[in-house]
Amino acid sequence: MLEARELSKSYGAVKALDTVSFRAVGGEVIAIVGDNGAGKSTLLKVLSGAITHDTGQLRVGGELVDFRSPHDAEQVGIEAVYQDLALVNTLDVGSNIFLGREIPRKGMAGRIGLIDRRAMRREGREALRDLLGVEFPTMRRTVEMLSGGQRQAVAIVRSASRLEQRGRGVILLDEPTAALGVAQRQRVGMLIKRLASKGHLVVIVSHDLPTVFELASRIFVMRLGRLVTELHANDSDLSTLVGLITGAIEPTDITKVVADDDATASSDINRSSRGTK
Amino acid sequence: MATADTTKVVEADDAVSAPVRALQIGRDYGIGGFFFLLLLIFSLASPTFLSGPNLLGILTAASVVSLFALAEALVVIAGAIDLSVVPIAALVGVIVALSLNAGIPVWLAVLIGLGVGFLCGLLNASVIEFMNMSSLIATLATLTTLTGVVLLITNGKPIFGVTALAPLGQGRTLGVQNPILVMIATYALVGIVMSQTKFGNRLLAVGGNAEAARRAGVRRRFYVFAPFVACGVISAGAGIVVLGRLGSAQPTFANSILFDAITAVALAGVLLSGGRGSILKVLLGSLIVATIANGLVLLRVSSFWTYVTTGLLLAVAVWADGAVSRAIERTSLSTEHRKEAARA
Repeated sequence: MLEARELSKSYGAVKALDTVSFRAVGGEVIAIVGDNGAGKSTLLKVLSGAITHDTGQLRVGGELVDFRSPHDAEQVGIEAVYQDLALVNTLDVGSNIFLGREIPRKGMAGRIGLIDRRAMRREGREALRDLLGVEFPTMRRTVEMLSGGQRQAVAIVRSASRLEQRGRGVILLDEPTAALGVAQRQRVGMLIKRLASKGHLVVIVSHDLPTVFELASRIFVMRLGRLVTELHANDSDLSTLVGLITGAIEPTDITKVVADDDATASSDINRSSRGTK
Repeated sequence: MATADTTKVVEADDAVSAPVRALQIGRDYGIGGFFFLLLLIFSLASPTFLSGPNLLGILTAASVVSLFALAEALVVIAGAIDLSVVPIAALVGVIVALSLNAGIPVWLAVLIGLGVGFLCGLLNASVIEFMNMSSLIATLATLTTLTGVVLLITNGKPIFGVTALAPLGQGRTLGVQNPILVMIATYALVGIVMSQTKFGNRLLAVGGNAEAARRAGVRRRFYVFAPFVACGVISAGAGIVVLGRLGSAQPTFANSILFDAITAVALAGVLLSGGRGSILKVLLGSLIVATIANGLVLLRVSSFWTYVTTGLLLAVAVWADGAVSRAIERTSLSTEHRKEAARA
């Protein structure tokens, strides 16, 4: 579904991304970990179209894509949820979920720009329940009144429901558990697993290593812009991961696990990719 | 629909506790309570206050201020401010008066006036957007410039003998002064637009978090221009109503109208926050400002005290709004901590 081949991005002399290659399919949760400045965020931004890579190829569902903006990435079914969540605190949950694609009223009223708030609340509630398994007490509450976990849920469901409209896709999560307490972290973890079980590919960038182990099937370790190794969560442990991140352990020190069974990149997404070469 | 899924349905916790709810109710309904308190005090202090003619008088006085407040509110909701509403109205009054005296039909003169308001709003927004200026400074420049332009056009003298708009400014329909009806109609229209349309929803979103709105695919620039243009048109409408009431175009308006309008907006809880605003509350805010002025006159308090009261009211309203918002934030945070602790 998502395939990167030798992606590179430089800022002057600094190689933020250095020939990064990987492949992932729908239904997977993959994690990108690394120390500060390792290139995780740059990779995430390249995947979401926020920045453009210098060299290398990016394929979505087998087709070459060339993102000029986040909008291009959304067109082929890649949605990003950044750490700041990009929610409007003063609007209610329904309005936030449907911001930018408000549901019009039926008939003439809809044509002159009237929106159906009740439908937005109802469909927002259904999306939260069906996509994430979360039940909100009321959809009228403004986002500023929500807990951190609830906000995360709203931000995720907004992206996820956009993906649902077009089938399956890729959802990129930047530090999804950073601002959360223990209980809420578990809850967001469940949301992430559920998204993957729906057939989406979930990519998380996180410093929260225990959560990474719990959620991701594969963990990509980045260091100095390079993807140094890929771990399978079940046959590795936290201390190895920490060693790899800090450089205390070299990838050659451990038996490398290369997954070839992922080679069947599914093409769930029917895209109208811009800049397809 | 959620049936054979791997994860079970989890209950998201109800994050709002009783004290937060109480603070919210205070913020949401405080202005209504304050208005009734004001009515109660003045009706006890003055026997004529609650009489029909006096109440209609308050509404008539509020009709012009409330139009300016409405214009201002749209800009403030979008996270900016417009200081130039009063000279826009003055300019429009002068241009409409000159047009009428030149024999242009009423409907066309009114249309020209609203068009001038439209262009003034467009000018304000263009300066802000393309010259990268804060709305405070940009509209301060417009305020000063337009004041000068109006004085230059009129040579500082009022334009008398404008009778064509008298029905609008002085007439009555079913016993109610027409300016009051203009006020009600405008508020109803803007209220519906803000609460029921895609435009209103997106304007609130841009005011609340412009970056989030942009990322959700909202054309930000349109929502920078729209509130200023709407503000210009509504201010122009206010200028036309004033022209009709006075029968003459005044080159200068009292500055206090701007202060009253901003105070009304602040009372409505729109100011500071951006992205928040109930149109009905802006109307209530305007009524409060008009009621205080009226009540103090009835009590034979010097009109100078009206300035003092309105100024204090502005300060208290902004302070209370901020204090309540901070208290809500603090209380809900501490509640969340307690819940976390209880789970652990």
